[in-house]
Amino acid sequence: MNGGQTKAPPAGLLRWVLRAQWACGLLLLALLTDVSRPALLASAAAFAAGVFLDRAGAPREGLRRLTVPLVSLAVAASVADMLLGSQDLLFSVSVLVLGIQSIKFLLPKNSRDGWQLCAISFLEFLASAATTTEIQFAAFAFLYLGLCAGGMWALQIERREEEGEAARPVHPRFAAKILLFSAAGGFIITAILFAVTPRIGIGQILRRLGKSEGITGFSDTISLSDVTGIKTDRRVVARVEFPAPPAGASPLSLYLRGAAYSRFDGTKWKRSWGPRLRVARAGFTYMVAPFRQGIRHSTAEITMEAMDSPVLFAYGNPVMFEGSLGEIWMEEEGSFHLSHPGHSALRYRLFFINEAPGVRIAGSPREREHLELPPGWDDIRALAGRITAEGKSDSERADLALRHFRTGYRYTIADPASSIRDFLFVSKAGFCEHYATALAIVLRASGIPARVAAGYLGGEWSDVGKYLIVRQSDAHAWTEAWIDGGWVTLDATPPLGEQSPFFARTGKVGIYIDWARQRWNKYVVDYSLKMQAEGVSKGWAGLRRARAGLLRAFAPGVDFRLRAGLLAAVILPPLLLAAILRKVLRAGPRGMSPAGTGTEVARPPRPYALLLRRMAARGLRRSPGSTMEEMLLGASRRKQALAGDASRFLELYHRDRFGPLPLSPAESREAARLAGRLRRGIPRPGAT
Amino acid sequence: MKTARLGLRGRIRLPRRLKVTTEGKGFVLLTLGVGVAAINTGNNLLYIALSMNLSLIVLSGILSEWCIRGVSVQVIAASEAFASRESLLAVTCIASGKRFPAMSLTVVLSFGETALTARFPEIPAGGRATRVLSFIPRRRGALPRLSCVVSTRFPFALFEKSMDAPAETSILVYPEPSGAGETGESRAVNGGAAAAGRQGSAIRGVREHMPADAVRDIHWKASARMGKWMVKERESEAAPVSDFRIPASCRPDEFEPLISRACAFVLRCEKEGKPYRLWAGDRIGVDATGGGGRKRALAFLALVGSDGALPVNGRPS
Repeated sequence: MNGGQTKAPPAGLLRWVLRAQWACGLLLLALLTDVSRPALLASAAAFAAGVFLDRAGAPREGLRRLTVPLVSLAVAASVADMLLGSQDLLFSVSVLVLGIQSIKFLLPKNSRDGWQLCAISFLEFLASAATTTEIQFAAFAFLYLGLCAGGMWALQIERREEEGEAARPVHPRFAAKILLFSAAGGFIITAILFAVTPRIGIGQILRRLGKSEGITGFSDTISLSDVTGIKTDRRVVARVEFPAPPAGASPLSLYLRGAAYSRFDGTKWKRSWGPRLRVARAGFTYMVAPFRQGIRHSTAEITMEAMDSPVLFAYGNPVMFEGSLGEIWMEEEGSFHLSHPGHSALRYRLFFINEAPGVRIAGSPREREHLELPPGWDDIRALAGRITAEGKSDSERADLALRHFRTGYRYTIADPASSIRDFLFVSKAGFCEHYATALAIVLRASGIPARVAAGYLGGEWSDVGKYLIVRQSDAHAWTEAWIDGGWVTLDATPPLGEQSPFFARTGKVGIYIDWARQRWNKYVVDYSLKMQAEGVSKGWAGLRRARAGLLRAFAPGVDFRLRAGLLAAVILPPLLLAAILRKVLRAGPRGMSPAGTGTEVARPPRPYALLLRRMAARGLRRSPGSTMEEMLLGASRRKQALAGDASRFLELYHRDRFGPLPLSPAESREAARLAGRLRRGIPRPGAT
Repeated sequence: MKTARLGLRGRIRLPRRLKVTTEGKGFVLLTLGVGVAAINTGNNLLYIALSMNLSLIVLSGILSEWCIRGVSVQVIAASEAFASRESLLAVTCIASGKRFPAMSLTVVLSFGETALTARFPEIPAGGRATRVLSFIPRRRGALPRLSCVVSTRFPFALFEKSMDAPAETSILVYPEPSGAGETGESRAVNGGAAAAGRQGSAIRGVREHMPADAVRDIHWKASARMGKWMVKERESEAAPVSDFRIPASCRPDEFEPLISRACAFVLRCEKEGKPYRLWAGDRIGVDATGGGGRKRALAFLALVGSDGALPVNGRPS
């Protein structure tokens, strides 16, 4: 690949594949990471310019003189970004790498430069792998695998050419077959290796690059004004499978509890940061409470998307968590949170009790906080007194308060009340936070400790994957009241179901796409040593079952035909598989040929074949044993002007086909050109 | 330890040998780095990247095996080989019986201290390709045992896979011709044209085709009959018989120049189409009065020892 010399591409289609691999690295960075956009744009522009210059064969040796200044510029940009811009080491290094990549794109390239650009492209692939958990990465990974194979093949051909070998361009169909095989075979091998490589975590020497942005909405405060945005957000927050669903309860009726808010100042709820307790842990198991005899424990496998909140969501009364979660802290309010302020995609298994609805594990309520009302709210105390006057116990009073909101109030997000007073006395219209706040205030005014909890209610059940899709629009607030020595969930919001203004059923295609995402998260992003151990354990158990079944089948008295059938079922599949593998691995694909022929006899290369065909068409039919030399000399006897071209062509032809080394690219082109000229100049029989 | 390892390697001949190229070393190092990062962070997408790299290594092994398996090599003399003169060997790489083409093959032929390399960019499945290599043999006699190694860097140039290919061939190196008529003969040898008495009009016999023979000398009927290419040998008009005598015993320092002169004599006679005889002491070594004795005469001169005996192992004493 001399910059000053135009020449035919050594690898044809493969060279484009190599370029596509370089471009794919940039595309991955652009779509899946947050690296510097100007640096990315500069690199993309340099890539396009490099492709154009490569195609045009423009002399670019002079550009090499600019290498040092350009590299200095890239280093300066990187340092400036570190000191004045992002102040993030990895971000600044990415600027430097993109700068060097841009320079490499512009300069003339030999195979060594090609390998270096491949390495940079692979680093970009790694950067996106370290940054994202999106399923789009899977498609890119498959594509990238095929492109890597093609790119390295192109570089191998290019290297041989630099060493003096003149390879003919690889036939596109042959190249496509090999690339398809590489991509498909590579995918299968990758999947197997991915599944069997042990997941051992040894430390955190390298920083994991997590995207800072995630699902938002669970801050330390909630107010009546910031709900609409959340309720219209259709992003998926979590996907929940229920290996052991709660008896008698639909997954759509379960509250996925996040945080509880105890302090109300008249407009917004705030969390109270009381003492917290670290949950006892053994490996990946976190014991929240002892398993109770005689009570059914339900299980949920929760996959949370990335979030900017440390809250760990849970159903019912959590008993145990399983997963790679680091430290878990339990607050006095019964909420759980992680050590770090946010998290990337997270998967954990939750064991919980749902039989005693609403009973929480937290201790006694804090009187001052949970009964506190803003000063001057005597009208609300009076209202609460009227509502709960007939109640003799906390339970009855809570029930009366709950029933009060069933009539005369309406759910709306179009014209909600501007304040709790407005909601209780004037408009009586609002959404879940109005209902939850109003009920909590009324209960407090009645002397029942109460607070507001936030999380998600229900979701959309996927019949395809048998799991619950929880979206941001399923965010919900409800009330928790301290009744008979425990916290009870009370939800005053009328159940809207499909009448909800935010209800939107996902289409069939959308459900399948979501199922793919769920599988991707479950089996790839959150694949763990525990899953591997479970897989081995299940496999072992399956083998034992099969062995026991076989022993039973061969016990005395069992029908002979059944025995023979079982024996065949055990022996034949491995034999068949072995035969197929042997055939595939030993023989290779049938009829593959770099020239696209695959016949038993090697055909002459295309320019010569065309010339022979033209001579045959002009009456110089090739008889067995006759040579190209004899035919051409015969043709040039008819037309003397061809003698010079024929003589030079034959010299090249003989060297190409029978010489010790193939022709150089320039000589190959000359031979093809002469063949074309002879083809056009050969006269018909009888013509002069 | 090293000696023991070498001894073991000498005893156990693996069917394939693998050498990591410079690019391959970089690739393996990068893969190790990804592995360390994946284990350290526990990021499953890095495990995918690691598995991808490993799968490319496995694919490289499968494709290179498809490429190299079933390749055979034929080596024949492309011209008569004379000591200290440039000679030609035809190396044919055959991919018959294969379903996958042979790509980026390198064939290295080694005999004695000589190593010759032929490159085959591509051989279609079921096809064959020939390269002609030049070499200068040092001494007359049979060429030492030929070892042939076929290697490929296909598909990704990460590894160079090689195998030993059986290439049975017996090539006889004739003595270096010297003395009268030597210049003309050596030009004929270098030019690759067989000096088989073309001046004559009558055909005195046929012999096997050699790559340097002209197509016009092919005897088509004989070729069709024998199932292989045969070329014509012609004879010229009758002439008096010439004799060359080699003493029965001779000092080695005098013997080799004598053999060289004998070789030049044979070539001159063959070129002029004259009948001749070679004598070893008092017995006739080769009688070429009836024509067709070129090969026999040169073979005799290639193998004859200073005591006039023809050694069994094909080497002059």
